[in-house]
Amino acid sequence: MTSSNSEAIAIPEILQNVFLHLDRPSLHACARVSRLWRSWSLHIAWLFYYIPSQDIIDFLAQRRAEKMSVNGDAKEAHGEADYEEYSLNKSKKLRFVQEFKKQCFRIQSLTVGDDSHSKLAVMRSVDKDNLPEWACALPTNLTNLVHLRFGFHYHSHLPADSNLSSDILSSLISQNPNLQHLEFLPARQPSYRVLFTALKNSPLQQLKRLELCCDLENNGLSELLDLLAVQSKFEILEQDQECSLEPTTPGWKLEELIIRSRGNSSFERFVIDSRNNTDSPRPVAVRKLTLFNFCPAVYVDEQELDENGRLQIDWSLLYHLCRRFPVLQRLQFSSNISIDYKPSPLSFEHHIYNFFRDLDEFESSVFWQPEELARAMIKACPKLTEIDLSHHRELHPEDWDILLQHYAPQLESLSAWSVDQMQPQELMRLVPPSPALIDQFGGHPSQKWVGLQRLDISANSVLAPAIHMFLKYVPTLRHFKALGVPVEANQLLGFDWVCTGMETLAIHVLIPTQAWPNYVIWRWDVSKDRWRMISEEEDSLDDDECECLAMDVEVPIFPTLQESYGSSKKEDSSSDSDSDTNSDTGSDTDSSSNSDSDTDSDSDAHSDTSTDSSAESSSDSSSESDSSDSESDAGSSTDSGRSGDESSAALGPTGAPGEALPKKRVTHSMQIQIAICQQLGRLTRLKELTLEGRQDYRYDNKEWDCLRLTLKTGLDYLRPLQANLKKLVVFQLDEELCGREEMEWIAQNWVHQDNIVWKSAIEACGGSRSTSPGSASNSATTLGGEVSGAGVSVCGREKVSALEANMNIAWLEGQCRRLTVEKDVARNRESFFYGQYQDY
Amino acid sequence: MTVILVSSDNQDFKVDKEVAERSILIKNMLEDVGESDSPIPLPNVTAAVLTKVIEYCEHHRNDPIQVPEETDDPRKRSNDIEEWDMKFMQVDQEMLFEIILAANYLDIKPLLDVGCKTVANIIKGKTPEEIRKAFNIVNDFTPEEEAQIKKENEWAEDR
Repeated sequence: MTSSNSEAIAIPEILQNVFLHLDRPSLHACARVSRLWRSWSLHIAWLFYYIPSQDIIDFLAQRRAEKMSVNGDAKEAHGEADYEEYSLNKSKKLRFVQEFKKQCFRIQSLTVGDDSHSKLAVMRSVDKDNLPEWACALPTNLTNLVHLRFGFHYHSHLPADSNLSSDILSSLISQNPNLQHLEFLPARQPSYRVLFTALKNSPLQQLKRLELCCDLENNGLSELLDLLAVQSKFEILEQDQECSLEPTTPGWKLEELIIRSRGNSSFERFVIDSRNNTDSPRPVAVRKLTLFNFCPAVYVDEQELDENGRLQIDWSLLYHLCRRFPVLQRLQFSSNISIDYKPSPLSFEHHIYNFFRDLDEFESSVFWQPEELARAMIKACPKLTEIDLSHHRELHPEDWDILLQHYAPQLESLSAWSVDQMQPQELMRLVPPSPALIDQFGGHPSQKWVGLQRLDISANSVLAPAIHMFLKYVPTLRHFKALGVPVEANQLLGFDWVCTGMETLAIHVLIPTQAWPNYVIWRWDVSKDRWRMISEEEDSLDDDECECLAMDVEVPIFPTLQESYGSSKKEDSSSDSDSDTNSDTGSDTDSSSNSDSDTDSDSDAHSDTSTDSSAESSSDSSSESDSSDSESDAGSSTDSGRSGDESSAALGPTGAPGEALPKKRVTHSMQIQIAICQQLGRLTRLKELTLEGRQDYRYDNKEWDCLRLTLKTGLDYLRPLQANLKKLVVFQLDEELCGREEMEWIAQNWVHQDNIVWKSAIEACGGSRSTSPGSASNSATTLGGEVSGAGVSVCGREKVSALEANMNIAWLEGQCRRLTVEKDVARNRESFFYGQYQDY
Repeated sequence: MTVILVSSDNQDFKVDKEVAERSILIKNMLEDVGESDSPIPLPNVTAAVLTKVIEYCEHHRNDPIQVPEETDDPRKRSNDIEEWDMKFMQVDQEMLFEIILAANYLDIKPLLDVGCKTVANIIKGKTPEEIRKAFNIVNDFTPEEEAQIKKENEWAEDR
């Protein structure tokens, strides 16, 4: 035996690390290798244990008295024929129970009961009538739990012995004072009050995380917070003239509280009680608070409204919650709808409206005075770093502006799907000024920002104009979701996407079908230290600083694309503010077209901040008070001079290119798609990519195309994603993705690391385009379609019918057994969800 | 900025600081000594192994620093090794364990994880005797113990 082998395996932490990757059968095999291996493998094997609801009686209870013969009961219950099998099973179960009682001191994580309604407990027929005969009897050495998940479920029409389940829960808590994570998610019994009583009687000083999935009823939240507040005391610390509250109770460790409502619970009672309580609220020392599926609306009488139809701020649930959690760092008060969302015929936005029926009724349920709630939140919870207020309607745009301005330096995560009160202007609080501007300023406070890592703005279509600014100026972004927020492709081009560390991206890209201009101008307002979207009228006031987004494509893009792909990236090219190509030419076309970087450099060269800002009286509408840098996406025009002027002059009243523009027409859609794929291909750390879109999509009175993800439209640029991409979701896109060429490409480039069958087939066939008939399964032939050849033959077409698409998918599934493909039919098209589900 | 790492067989390796600091041990050492050009000795790592370790760190230099996930279940998957890592770990068993030991000593958790996953994949599906043979482990159970364990495990393997 080599010394390194023996040495490595003998180190307990290494051995443990290896065993943590093994499944149960492998662990039991390891338990028979040697004594050292046995001790560690048993330790790992017994770390986690699961007791289904129907076995709770066997493992955690015993009969109070032997009133009837069990065998007699069993024979009567099962009949002679099944009794033998029953006996065998019972004998086997007895051995499990014996071993459980012997080894349970090793258990650190215990799950009791089932955790979903679909797995309703089926009580044994011999027991259901004798439940009162059973009493809680925990093994005395079950005392080392760190995690307990209690999800006892009873079948609805079987008798429920609430005392038994309550006793078991209470005993588990009292017997395991070192619990760090407690999950309570019963169907009906025991009620949450049993838990609260148990926690009162046996305070868990090591508890870090408490998770409830139940209905708290009217007073439940108040009771819970009062229970938790009792165990924490606060001390006001003065630091740098700021006061902060820190818990001082020794041993108090609860950091996270998660409450998931099963229905659509309301905390109305909590709000009313909080309003009526004249004392200062007792704070709770929790740093992470999650409330899922709670209705934030409170029903009040009209007499509570003031003359403006507004309510006092103390009717806000959010207001009272923040006051109870002064050291909060993560506030998540929304719904977990987005987590479970799968491709469907409905857009994400429609999905939300179907799920939350109250949205129509409370579409603009902003009850308070603007800014009031935001200021109260900031005062109560100044340390927030993660905010999820998705689906909230009670914040004004002014509130969002104040919140994001305050939290921007420290914010790591913002989830704000379906919040229609937020406008692009407010969201832009999270985007720092451009590097060129920062250089010009000689520094900026945003350089010390922690850096936003997560952003979810799905179902907020108004926020589309801000999306490209995040891709351009927020390099720390790792998870970005914008489902149901169609963004024009041209806005996303003309610069390199800086967030190359992106791991999750969900985006809806609109591909233009023809050239038309569109003005989206962001300008850094020095006086207000923020980005500001300026209108076309404002833009015309200061042509020197204006760069417009124009979707006009007036030069051959394809040759430019080809020569620029792979070329070195040039930032802030100063050569052509009048450059001809538009942003569609993609990431590497800085030398020719990047008008926004050009804008930066030009404006740097031509307009100095101090000059501009001092020239005119500052006003919101005056462009002279703005900084020298204006931000827009690549405009385009062929002639020299100011692209903004050009765009303005060249366009007709409908926005269509005027006759003055050169008549160089290209295939907008294809070239733009290629450029988008180039940008996507740079995100080599992507693990999950969701692409939304629809062909013939009508939006903003125009018709749009979508990413087709074919080889002709740039699919091959996504090859670098193979390093890390685990899940690709494409829905409502064009069906051309299921062409055979594309299927082969996916099989070869995205799943090949696990696709041993495919790799073997490729090697055997000597490449992707040769095969011998029958060498691979091909459901196409069995279906009798026109698709010919065995699995690896190429027979893709420009367009495929639904039948051929199905056949191609079936072929792909046959090649890649570990690849899961989900289809969803939307009208005449099909959407596909590719993911790798791997068994553990 | 570069740092010089010295292997146990006195071979110098000039490495970018950013790459070297993928090792928490080295990172802490650099923080302790401050700005210094002194080479960092690594008496437990041979040149051959250090070459591999540096190769790994170079490839993963831009990976985000792994933050331990808050989870009650530290069990891990072994079937999600990246393609590059998989090829990187296609070495003989001696080198595999040397890399694991080095990763453990240098405190490079991702490399340690990949190494342990690779070992776990070797173990999976094997009988106890096959495992002993694969890793040259001596069976130190008495015959009676072995019989008892086998009997006990019969029920365990069914669950």
